[in-house]
Amino acid sequence: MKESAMNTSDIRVLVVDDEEHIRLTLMAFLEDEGFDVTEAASAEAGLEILALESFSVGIIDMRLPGMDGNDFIQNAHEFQPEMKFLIHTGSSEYVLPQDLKKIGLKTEHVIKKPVVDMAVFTDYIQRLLGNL
Amino acid sequence: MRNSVEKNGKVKDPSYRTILEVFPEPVILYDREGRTTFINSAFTDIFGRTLDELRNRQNDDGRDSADPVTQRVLAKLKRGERISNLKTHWFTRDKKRIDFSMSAAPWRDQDGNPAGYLAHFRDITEQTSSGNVFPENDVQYKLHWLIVEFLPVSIVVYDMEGRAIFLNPAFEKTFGWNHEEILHKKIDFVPPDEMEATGKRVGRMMKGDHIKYFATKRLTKDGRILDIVLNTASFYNDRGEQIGNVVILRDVTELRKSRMALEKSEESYRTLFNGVPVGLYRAKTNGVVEDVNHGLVAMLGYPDRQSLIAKNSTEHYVNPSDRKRWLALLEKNGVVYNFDTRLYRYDGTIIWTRNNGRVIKDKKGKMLHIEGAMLDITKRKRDKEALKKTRRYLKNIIDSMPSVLVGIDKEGFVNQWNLEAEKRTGLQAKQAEGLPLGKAYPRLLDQMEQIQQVMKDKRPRKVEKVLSEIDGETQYSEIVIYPLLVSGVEGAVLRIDDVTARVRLEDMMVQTEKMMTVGGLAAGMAHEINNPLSGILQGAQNLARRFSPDLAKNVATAEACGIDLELVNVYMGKRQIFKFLEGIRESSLRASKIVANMLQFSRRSESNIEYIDPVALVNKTVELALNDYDLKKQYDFKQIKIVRDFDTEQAKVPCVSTEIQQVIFNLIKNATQAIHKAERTGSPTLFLRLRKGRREVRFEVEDNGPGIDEKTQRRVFDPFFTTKKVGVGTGLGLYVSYFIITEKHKGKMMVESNPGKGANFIFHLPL
Repeated sequence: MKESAMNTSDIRVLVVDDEEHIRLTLMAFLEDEGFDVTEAASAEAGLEILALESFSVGIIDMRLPGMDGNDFIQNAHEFQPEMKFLIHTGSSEYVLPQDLKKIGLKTEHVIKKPVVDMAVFTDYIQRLLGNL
Repeated sequence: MRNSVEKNGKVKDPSYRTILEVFPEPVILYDREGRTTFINSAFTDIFGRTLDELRNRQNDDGRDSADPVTQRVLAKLKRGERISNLKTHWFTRDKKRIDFSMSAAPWRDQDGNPAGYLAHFRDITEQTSSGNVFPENDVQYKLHWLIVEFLPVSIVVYDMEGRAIFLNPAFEKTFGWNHEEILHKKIDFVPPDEMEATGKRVGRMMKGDHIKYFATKRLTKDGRILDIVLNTASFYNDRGEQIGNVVILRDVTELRKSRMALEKSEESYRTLFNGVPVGLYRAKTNGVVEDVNHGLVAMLGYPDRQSLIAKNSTEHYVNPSDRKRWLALLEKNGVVYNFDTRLYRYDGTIIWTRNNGRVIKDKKGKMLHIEGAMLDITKRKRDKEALKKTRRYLKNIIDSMPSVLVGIDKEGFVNQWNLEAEKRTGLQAKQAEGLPLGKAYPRLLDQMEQIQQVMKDKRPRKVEKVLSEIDGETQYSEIVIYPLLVSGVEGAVLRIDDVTARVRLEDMMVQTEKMMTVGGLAAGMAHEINNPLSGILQGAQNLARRFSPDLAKNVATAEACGIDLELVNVYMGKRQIFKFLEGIRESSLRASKIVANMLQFSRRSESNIEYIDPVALVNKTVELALNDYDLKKQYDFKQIKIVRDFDTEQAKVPCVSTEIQQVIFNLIKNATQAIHKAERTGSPTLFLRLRKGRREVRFEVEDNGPGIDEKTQRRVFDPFFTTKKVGVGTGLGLYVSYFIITEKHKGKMMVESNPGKGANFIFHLPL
């Protein structure tokens, strides 16, 4: 018996990507879907936000200026162990490393760019949070 | 008185006895038996003997002091011979020696019967002791005298004091002293070193010994030394005393000189005969060996001459028919030169000999002996063989080289032409040698200047990638020109290698490198492209969404702005806005697909075998082909109709998808190029077929282009084989495809074609 689904408006999503247009459009879509979305242009910025606020899901790009996505997730997990993650990457060679698997990520949580229909994010977010 | 006795031999009456009685010289009478019958008083006076005394001793033999007439003389008388002037001697009763000359004759009685003998003696003692040895009035002496005078041998007579009492003319001539100078003197002509030997012999001589053949030396008056051989004889007086010696000296100087010269020359011939390192021999034609020299003994390894001579010549020959030939040649020509044959040595080993010989014939022309000289040429033959072998070996090496090797002299005429050169030009070595290079190898005419330069500079040069067309095929050659650097030898050697394969390989590698770079770039680029693509796609999606009346937010916002969202949508529909948005989406999608495909295709060494749906694979590849720059630009790929015929029953084939994609892509590209090359039947069509077999899946890529002739069909999978123009393609596509299918996937690949009816490339992949 599943828990009662969270209200989508309660679901806080953090989008970390250095591409402005991607952040913009993804955020617009997720907002339309009713999620509460915050953006960060770099891992460092993201961590600063996480220090102050808690999030349910993070959609993280791997190639970031400064600290990369991998390390960000590791660090984020230490701040907020309950937080779930989706990886949104343009690198077709990307393979999920062991340490991320330990945290709880699975291969299906790696979403390759470009995404044709962003509904896939909605889908996975709900799954991650056990709502589906 | 004597005459009357001589006439008839008779003593006529007793008065004769009286006459005899008073006769002043001694007379003896004998009877027929030799008994003394009468002696006269002169006899008694001189010899002091009586008749009685003589009678008593008549049986004595030989020379008896009792009777002056010896038995020997009596025997003569008995035979009827007469004695005249016999020089002899006797001793008186007082032991005094009397030299006398005796004459005796037989006498007959009145009736004519032999009655006895008469002997008459004349005392010549005085005469002998006066030294007048050779009375001039005596015939016998005269004869002896003549002999001595004219004898060409030197004679000197010495007395017992060593003084010369007689010299013959030969002596005078030989030694230079004359009679008057030397007579009664000692001759001082013994050289100091001969003194001792001569002294010994003089001693013996004086004792009455005869010296025979004493070889010594004597000096001439003018001091020359002569080689002498001398003989001596002693002579005695009536009393038997040695009174002198006759010495005969033979001058053998010249004889000795010539003998020594002869010996020397013989010696030197012997040395020559024996010493030369050539084998010399004389043998009879039947094989019996007469003489051999040391050289031959050594050559044949025999322990000595005897053991070699003991063998018949025929035994030495390894090949008996060789000897027959040898003899036949000698018979025919008399002299034979350089006849080579093998002979056995003493130890059984075999040597090669070179023989010169001549035959000696008798008056009738029959062969008597063979005189021959032979040389051991084993080493020479071996060296020649070794040389031949080395030459053959070198030629082998030169001919085995897969490069063309051509040698030229400094004038540019060919002097070396190996097997590969023969193959490439069709010209045999014998024909090529002596020709000017340009004529023998016309393709090298362009290089003549370089060649000249090399010979001048004495530095090698390489000419790379020389292009030529042979039988419609492009070929690349590399020409290296080497100057001949060995002193005294001028010219050059050219090495021509077919480097077509290497050049193609290099090109391929460059291309691969490019591709790999491109691959690398592609990977990086893909990355970069995906981001803006995301931007486009996501943006487009949002655009469409945010016009939708389904989203509450949209409706609310429109209302707040005083816009009827429905109406906006109507407007947008009428103005094809959605279509454009859709277009953006589709295009971006395609772009992302291209990137994805390209990334996948240019991924390196991903040899993971996966179970792949062949239908999907083929379709993916077609898409790729549709996007191929070359195909699009040059071959108007869009015009080609693609007919798919897939029946795989959902089978999945284990394979490396990228590699199979590579193969299919290559086949499609080739088909497209073929279609555009020449006439075809019907509109350009590409047939793609998939069939599941029992144990394999069959892929077919068929075109309706001009097709491939049988000759080309056989070569189509060869590496670097291409029918495309220079610079187009590497000729590796089909080779690599073949490799991928057959080697890596253990499948099969083949082509079916008929000229004018297109070509069908088929491959199977095992399930």
